[in-house]
Amino acid sequence: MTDILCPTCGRPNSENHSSCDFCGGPLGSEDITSVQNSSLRDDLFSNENPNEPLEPRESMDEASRLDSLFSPDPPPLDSQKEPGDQPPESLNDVSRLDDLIPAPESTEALPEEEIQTGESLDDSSLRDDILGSDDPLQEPKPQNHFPLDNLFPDDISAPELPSQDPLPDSPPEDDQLQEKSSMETPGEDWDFLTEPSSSSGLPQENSPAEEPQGDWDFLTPDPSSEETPPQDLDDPIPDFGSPGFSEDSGWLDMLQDPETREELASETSSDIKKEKNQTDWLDKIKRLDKSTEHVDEDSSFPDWLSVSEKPAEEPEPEPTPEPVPEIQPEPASSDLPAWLQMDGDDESLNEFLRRKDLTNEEYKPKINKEPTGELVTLEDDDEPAADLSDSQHIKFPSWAGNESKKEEIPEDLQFLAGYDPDSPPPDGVDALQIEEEEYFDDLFNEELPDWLTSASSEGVIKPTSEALSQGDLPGWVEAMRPVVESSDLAEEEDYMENYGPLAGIPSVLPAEAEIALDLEKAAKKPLDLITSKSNQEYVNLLKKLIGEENKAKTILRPAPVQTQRVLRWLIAIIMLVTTAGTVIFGGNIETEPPTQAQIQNTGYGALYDQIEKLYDSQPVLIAFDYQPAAAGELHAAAAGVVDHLMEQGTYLSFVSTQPTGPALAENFLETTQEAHRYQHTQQYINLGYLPGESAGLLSFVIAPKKIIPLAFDGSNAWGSPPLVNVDSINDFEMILVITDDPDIAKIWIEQVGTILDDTPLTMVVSAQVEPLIQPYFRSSPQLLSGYVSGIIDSMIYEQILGRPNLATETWLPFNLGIVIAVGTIFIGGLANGVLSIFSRHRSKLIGDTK
Amino acid sequence: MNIKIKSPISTAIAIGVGIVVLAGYFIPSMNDIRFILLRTGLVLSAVALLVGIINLLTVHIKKLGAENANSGYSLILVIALLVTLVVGIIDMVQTYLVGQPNFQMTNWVFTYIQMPIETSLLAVTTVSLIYAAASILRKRMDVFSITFFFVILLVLLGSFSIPPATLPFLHVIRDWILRVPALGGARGLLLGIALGTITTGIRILLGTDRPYSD
Amino acid sequence: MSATGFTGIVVFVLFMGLMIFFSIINKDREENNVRPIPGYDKINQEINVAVEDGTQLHISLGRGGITGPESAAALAGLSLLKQVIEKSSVCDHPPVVSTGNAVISILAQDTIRGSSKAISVGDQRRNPSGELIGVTPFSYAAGALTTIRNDNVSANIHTGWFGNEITWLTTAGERQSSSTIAGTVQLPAQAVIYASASDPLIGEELFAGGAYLGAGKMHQASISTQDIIRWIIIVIILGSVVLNILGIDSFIEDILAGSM
Repeated sequence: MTDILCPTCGRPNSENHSSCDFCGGPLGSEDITSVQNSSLRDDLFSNENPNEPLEPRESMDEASRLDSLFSPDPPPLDSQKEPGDQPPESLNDVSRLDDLIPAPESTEALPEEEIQTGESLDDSSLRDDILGSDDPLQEPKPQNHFPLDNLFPDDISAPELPSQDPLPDSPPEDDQLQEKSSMETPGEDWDFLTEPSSSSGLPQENSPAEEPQGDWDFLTPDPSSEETPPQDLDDPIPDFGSPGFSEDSGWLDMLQDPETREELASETSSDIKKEKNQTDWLDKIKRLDKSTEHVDEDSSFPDWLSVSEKPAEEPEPEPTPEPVPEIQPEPASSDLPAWLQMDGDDESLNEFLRRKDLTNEEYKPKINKEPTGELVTLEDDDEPAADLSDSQHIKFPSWAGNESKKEEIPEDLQFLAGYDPDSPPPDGVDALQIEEEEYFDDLFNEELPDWLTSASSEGVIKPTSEALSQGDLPGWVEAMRPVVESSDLAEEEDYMENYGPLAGIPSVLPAEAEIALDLEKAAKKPLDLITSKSNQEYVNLLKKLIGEENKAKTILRPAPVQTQRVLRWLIAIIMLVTTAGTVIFGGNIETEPPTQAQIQNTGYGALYDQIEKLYDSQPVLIAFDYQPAAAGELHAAAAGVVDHLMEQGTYLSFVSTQPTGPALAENFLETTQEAHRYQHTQQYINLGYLPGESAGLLSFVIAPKKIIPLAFDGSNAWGSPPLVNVDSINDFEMILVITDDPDIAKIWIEQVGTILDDTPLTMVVSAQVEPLIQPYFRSSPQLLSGYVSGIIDSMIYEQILGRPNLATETWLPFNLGIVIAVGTIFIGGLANGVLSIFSRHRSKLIGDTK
Repeated sequence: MNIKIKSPISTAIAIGVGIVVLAGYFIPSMNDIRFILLRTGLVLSAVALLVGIINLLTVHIKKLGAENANSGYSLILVIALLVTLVVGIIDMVQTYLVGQPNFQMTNWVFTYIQMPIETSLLAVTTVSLIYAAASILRKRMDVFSITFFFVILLVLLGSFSIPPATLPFLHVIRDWILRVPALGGARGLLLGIALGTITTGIRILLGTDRPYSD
Repeated sequence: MSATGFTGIVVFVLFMGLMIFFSIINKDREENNVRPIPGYDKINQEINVAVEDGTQLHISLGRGGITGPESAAALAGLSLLKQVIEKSSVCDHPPVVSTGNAVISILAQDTIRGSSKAISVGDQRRNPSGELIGVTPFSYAAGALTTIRNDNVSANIHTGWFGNEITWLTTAGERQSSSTIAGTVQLPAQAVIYASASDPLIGEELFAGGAYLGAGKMHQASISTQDIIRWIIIVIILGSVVLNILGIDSFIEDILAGSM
């Protein structure tokens, strides 16, 4: 039975357990979000290449997310040009990264070079943030690169780096060769990932041992970035002094045989150029984003993934797949950065760390006494996939999940698995690999990315515990190990370490505090504190404050004013019944005509006097400037006045600044003045619609014949004898404006009335307009010569005229309507007022109760 | 063809035309230029009306469809618009080409369709206004609302004039309200509106407000 | 030049000078010392609510054109429209814009296009439409009811030139339990909105939208200028009353008659 190490606490668990028995954390074998992620991937890339392995993109997603976490806002280009002069925020990000990567053992144990490597690791992620991937000056990248390699600008190379290397000659020769080879084969080692089916015919036959590292290749340190001169960014064809660092996943190259890589570098460089296009998914996303808008809207893109640079800040796209960076001549071994160079002490330390990393459940408690050479032998086979523990498999992406066997790997791909029968086996695993894995363990044990957890469930490679080398402790540690019977220890009182070099030693401080394992449990433990009453009050107050913060406050939306539909219907029914009944069955009301004293100084009296001055065939301009809706009131109000004009025998000219005005004029004549039988062009002329509102009216005032040359029916508007001599508005004998709009009335008064000489300006207006035009009638000089306001004035006018018309007919329904309106408003208003008072009082009571 | 006038040019045109029209109002010698610009504006207003109607038509044609719950109303609007347009064209052809000046069909549409509808809508407005006046104390119970409420009642009662029930003092109160507080308040409001109108116009002339900018 | 023309030029120059002056001296002032107007506070609040709720605002610009006195109200509505579009650019749904005048409809669409371009809203589907609903008051009001009754509309802003038909719009908003901010220059309609709208904009408050919504220093300078001129008018009115009481009113009448 195989046990699975918990990624959270590192303790062994049964294979069929989904959660850790010790800490309760997930064992990483099930990924809830894997389906979602896969759907996301399908949305994003399924159209591009269905056979393409998607996991590198996922890993890119995670990496990008990590980058975005560390530095959400990329610094400006100025800071990009000087990587060493990084902004403070980025530096803070580095410190945050350092906090997130608690590798005290490694940093303490590692020599100076390794510590620098760790710093470079931080710098690499920082560089991701600072430099970004959209450098317009960047050389087009090979498309089969690991995606995150695109984040590294190609022009950031370090040809001068060796001169700054503190230990240029210290690395062993093998390591140097590996590094050289990696520099010579930019990106080709990912060809099998790009098109597994087409290139090899064996899809997903990858070496699982390599891929976990490859997933995190974005963390591959690149110390050259700090030494890169700023002017390199301006170089359109950058100098690839170390292409392996800038474009390759260096860790993979380290696993390869140097000679094999050199051969493949020369053989496959041309093929790579095409295949690189198919894995550069990040570039595809960016191209989509720049060229189409719907990509931005695609909700399947996470926000952090979508390229949302503003157009002005967007670099030029790099669509050309043709240019391929030239493979630079390999640098001399002395050119290698310090963090890649190792000495013998490093090797021993690496070996120790590797063993530590390869420990599994069988290894840890048994404290295997077997010599370490076995492990070395196994490692020499370059078959780490079978040797990895489950905890390491957890980190594998799904595409790495298929169990690979050495004999199934074709010859041209065996180098990727590190299998090279011709080459001598390396002495050990590269230190960088181990260190990275340790970092990854520490970083992601708590929260494994989705793609990692899904990978473990899909293609877990069954550990071959027999073949796995039993880890061994250094001799000096083994000698120090006391032999203690576990039964002697009370579990509650003493803690025995069962993992790592201190396994089996009792009374050691646990690696993780118990409180970290069960926060709730720890919180419930009583504290023996002596608190005063005031302290307890403070505690209660703090608890209350914290508790209130957690509660979502409900924002009370202001209570909407409820519509009283019943009141509405009641008002409508009463108004309709009374007015309609009065119109149908009612009659006229006999009222006393106004006295002469009552007529004086009134608008209707002045208007009556003005019309009385007119005589036969004198031209009068009437403006029908009201809406059809107001016809009910204004037809009644104007009927008596127009009737008076017709009685005087004046020649009427109709004009309107409203589109419906001409039709209203015709309708008015038909409905109210039919008795006069006025004929068009003979007794009146309908000039039609005057567009342009006040501007049009102003133009008409200046030159009426130019503005309206034709009448409403197309006839000559100014051909009638009364109008022949009309050249301006002052040539009319009177102007009568019928309107329901106070603004239109003001326009006529202020735009026309001010330029009239002797022509009186009069009005028939709706009752609502009267308060606004009254000052013009009562002012001096008088801009308004007379007016009739509403049905009240019109009825009086008809009484003065002695010819009852519409106003007299509608007088009774009008007054009944007023009574009903007053009664409804009064009753409804009082009821609503009382209800409002009660409602407020009630709300106040409720508020006081609360 | 997509003619796109750059913003500075259109701004300069707008400011220049505005200043000329304004100056023509004060300086009689510029009346001719002002008149030309006004006539041009009239033509553009009429064209804008046509453009607006076409816009209205296209919008409602786009709304036609099963997925739109109000597509029935849009269909009625499109049909009514087209029918009225055809009727108007026929009347115009008869008037201007055949020489029989009558707009009977247009007048019929106006008299028997548009005017009753709009008059009915105004009647409904009366109900809404009465309802609003009755419910104002429920919305805002303050001094101004109470004053508003009772002033409405007084003015309406002052308009009531059926001889046996006529109360002469209510007429006096109504007239006083209309002439003094209502007129004074209206003038104050109009002065404020005039001030706002002037500053808005000046902002347009200065180019700080550019509703025409693109 | 007539006395009226001369007076007009003086008033125009006075306004322009004060506005430029206040815009210069207020250039470095960040605070906006204006009295609170509940209507504009409500607009800002409703924009935030629309962002949070995923709802949209309805802005109706009335039926005023640009060739009459009502043009100022229409242009003020357009200015407010621009500010609201910019402020609500992060909304899931853009504001709905309706007009009752053809020219304003064209200008509204132009404003929408310009504002959307300025805030980089490239998706035309997210742009508000600014369509012409009706050319007569009640056809406009009836057409706007459909928009107001949309459940996704959380607030209605009516700024522009309206008549009594605005009671349809305010009442419909009330029935939908959505906030209604309304302002117009027509006095009878102001009485209507005072009685029916939840947040009325009375008088010159309609023209102060830019200053309250952050349209720029010139809008704040407009407010300051209006205050200055308002005080001048008050002094003139009071002085005229005193002169009239003292019997020295012929001088004022001569000025008003243009016989100076």
